[in-house]
Amino acid sequence: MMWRDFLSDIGYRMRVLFRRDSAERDMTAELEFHLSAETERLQRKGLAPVEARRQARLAFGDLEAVKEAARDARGVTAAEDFGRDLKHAVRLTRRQPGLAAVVVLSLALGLGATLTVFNLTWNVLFAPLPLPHPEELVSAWRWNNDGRDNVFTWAEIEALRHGATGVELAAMRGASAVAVTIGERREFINLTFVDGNFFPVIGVKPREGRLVSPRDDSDAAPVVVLSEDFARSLFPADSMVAGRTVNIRGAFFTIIGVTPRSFRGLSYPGSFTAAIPIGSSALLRGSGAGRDNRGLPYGDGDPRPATQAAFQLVGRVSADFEAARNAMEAAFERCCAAVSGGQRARLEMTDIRRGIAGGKGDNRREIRGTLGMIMAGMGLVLVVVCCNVAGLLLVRSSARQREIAVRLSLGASRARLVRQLVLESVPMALAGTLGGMMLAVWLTGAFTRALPGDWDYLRPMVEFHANSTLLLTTVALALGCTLAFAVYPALRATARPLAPSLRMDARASRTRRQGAVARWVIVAQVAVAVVIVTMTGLLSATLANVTRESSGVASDHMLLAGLGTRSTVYEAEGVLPLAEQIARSVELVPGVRAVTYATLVPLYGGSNYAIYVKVPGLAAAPDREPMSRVVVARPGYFATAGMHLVAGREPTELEATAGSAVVVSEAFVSRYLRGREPLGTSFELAMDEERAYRAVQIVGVSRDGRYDSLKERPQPYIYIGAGGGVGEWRSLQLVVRTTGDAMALAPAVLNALEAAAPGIEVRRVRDMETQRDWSTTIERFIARLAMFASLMALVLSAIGLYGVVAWEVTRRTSEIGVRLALGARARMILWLVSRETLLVLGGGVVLGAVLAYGAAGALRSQFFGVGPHDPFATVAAVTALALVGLVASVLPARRATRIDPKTALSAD
Amino acid sequence: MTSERFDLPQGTLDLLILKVLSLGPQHGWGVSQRLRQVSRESLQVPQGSLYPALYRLERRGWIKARWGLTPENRHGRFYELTARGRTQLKTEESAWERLVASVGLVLGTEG
Repeated sequence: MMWRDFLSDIGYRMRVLFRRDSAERDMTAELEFHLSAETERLQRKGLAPVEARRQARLAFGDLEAVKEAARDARGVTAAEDFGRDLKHAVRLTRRQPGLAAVVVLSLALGLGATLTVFNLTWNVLFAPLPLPHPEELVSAWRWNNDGRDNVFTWAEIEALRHGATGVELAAMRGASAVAVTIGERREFINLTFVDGNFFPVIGVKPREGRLVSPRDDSDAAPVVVLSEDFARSLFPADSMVAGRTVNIRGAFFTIIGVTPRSFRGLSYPGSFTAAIPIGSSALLRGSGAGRDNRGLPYGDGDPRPATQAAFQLVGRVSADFEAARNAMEAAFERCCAAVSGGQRARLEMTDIRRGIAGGKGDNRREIRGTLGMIMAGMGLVLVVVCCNVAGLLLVRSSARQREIAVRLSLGASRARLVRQLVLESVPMALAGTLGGMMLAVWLTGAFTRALPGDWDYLRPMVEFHANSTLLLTTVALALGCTLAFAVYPALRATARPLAPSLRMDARASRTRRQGAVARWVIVAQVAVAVVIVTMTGLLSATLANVTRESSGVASDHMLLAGLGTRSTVYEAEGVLPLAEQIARSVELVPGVRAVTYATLVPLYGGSNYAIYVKVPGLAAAPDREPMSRVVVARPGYFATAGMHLVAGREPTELEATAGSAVVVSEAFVSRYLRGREPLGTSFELAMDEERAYRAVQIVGVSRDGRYDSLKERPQPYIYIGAGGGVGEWRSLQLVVRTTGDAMALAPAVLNALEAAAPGIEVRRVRDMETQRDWSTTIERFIARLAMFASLMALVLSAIGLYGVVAWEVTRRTSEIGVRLALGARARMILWLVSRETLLVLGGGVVLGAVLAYGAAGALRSQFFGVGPHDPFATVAAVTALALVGLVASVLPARRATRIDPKTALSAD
Repeated sequence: MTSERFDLPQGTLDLLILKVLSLGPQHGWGVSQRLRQVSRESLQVPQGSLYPALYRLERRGWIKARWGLTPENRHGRFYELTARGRTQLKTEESAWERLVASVGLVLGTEG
């Protein structure tokens, strides 16, 4: 029976809906028939026609209410009304373009900004690998007493492959600084060795050609796959690169395919340059044996050494994740768990849908807090937007009090009116959402283009991907925000007692209660804006302080190049024996003023190496022997690098060769010498593992250098000459002081390097100014985002205030007309309409200052060189808000003073 | 007279309409007249409230409507019981009788 009821209902609804007009006509005709039949009956009883009609209507009841109830009973009113209301809404929106524009603008700005920040944040922190079904990808870690690692021997990989079901496994291994030569050009790249399963398992589709197959691997084919970016940089003119040949470490490889730009390998943030089959790694030869990322040898031998834990494992789970995990772990337990000494290792299979974590450059943990803070800021901006929309709708609905009251008294149901009022905001919400999305796409583009050079890896990551989850969330957010904030004013407007609103003097009947919510809305948004602007002030001060901070070296006219001997002919003896020869030949390059070198250069980096020291008179704690970082530098380093000596002098050539005299940093003096005269003081240091101490004498004290970041706390440093047994060093930073533009000299310097030490690895050729800029990237990024959020908050607050005052003026036009007609002065009118807003603005500013005080305290760790309660930021924020608010509320208020009393009084 | 009028208990209007229509097709006004006469003017039903009820019953498929001519040669909308409406009437009648009987028992005025 039930389904028949249901079908009948549907059929009826459809019939009525499709013949809506005829259904409406039927109803009118039917009710009219009833009334005339009843009138006739009463007339037959002897009543006069007019009286009969009156009685008939009385007996019938409220005709409109009956119609409404009948429509409801017919069950189609909701759909019908929706269409009608929507049409009405569009018409209304067109009739009030100013209000609509303000609402749409607020929504578009707020949503655009929020969507941009959320998109960036989501892509950096949570985006999955751009591979098909990333949730199926896994990797494996081995746990033993020493901790965990993720490399396995080939024998283990084979055993796991045969023992584990439900997961398809592949192996890979990486090597850095592998020389690739094409003609005259030579590059050092990160090379990946992959087995034949690798590309099929992870599911990369080639952009061009094909990728490494199992056959390539078993045949040890000399084939290579390049990334799109690398291929393009090698062959800028060629649209097709497959089939061309490159020389990799002395062996020729044919390019068989290109991977798409989105593929960045499996690590986070990841980079991918080129891959060859594991089987072909034995072909690599040339200058000595290669070493992979972990220092294990490859090339010239067995590509799959059975006992060397060299390979990383990746896999794709084909069925149940838990079952596959158990199978893997059980297989490992059977084949590979035994460790020497009776210990047992354990395998852990992990999900790598967001990339293999914890690698170099995986700064998700550090930046999570900052990004979270910015996201919270944008959330607040969105709250401001919602406040604006709510405030404007509230003002509008109170301006329409009379219309609503009339309709209520004519029998319109409250639900129907609320529905209509809420629907009226739909066109604005839609337009705002659309505008917000377009703005977000544009802003993300602008942001991506503005990324500094060392954030290249982020670029493909943060590009605007039409992420359906994100878009849907935003649309839901926008509609939710508008609708939620439309419901409240609608409820308020329809809940009022009718009588006062219906009186003709409704134009003057504004109760205080009515404006209370609108006032709180403004207080809230002004307060939010004060908080955001205060934070921005503190972050900008942070950036300024960081930028002002000295790195310790003079960064102008300074060219830097990193030299490396790893996997070159110079590997055995290290870089120091070559250093003098290289420096001398670079000194001959025209335009070079001076050349020096050091193992570590402020902000640029190098080998950061700490050694033990024994300082006389310093009582060493038994478990914490004093340590200092050590830099091996050429004599004259301080003069050339522009590193200021606060006392003493540099070691002479002789002292440097003997290794007997050192310069120490100020931090060394303050930590280890405790107020003693440093110059002439002797102490002992141990440069090697065996802790063979030897004595050195301090001849100079240098200003502190900042090595990793301008924000770091200075550490003790010892600067020593290359002689006297400082051990082998594999990398050295060449510092070239130029007369003109530093980067312009780079090609000539590189040529000189190649001539002096053919085959040496050269990396990171750049000038110090750029390096310095890069070191403040995060601070600049955050300051810029905060500025952006501030601007949004200010603009939106202004829009909100402007809108509310403008409406106030419109609504009170006749009152103002009366006052003007009675002789009120312009200034009084100005005060009349802006008085409350100004009071409210003041309240918001004070509340904001209090909130900002708390917020800044909570974010203390994000600031540098400025206290969280620095009055400057608060004063600046309060002033900015006060000014913006003043302008935004006085501008529309001035309109009130220009009202013509005659027009105003005849209106309404 | 006025004092003997009473309001209709919730939901009984549907039953009364079905009952009236079981005697033959009738238009809305006819139903209201019939109710007035049969109850000897003691039922307080605003005539207008009949129509939402009629539409509701039509939607449930218990009655159906068509335009026809009245004896006075005017166009009226006539309602008649469907087969399902007849079944429904029987169900509701017996439910009503059981209700009356039960209430009577409780009040002790049965018979």
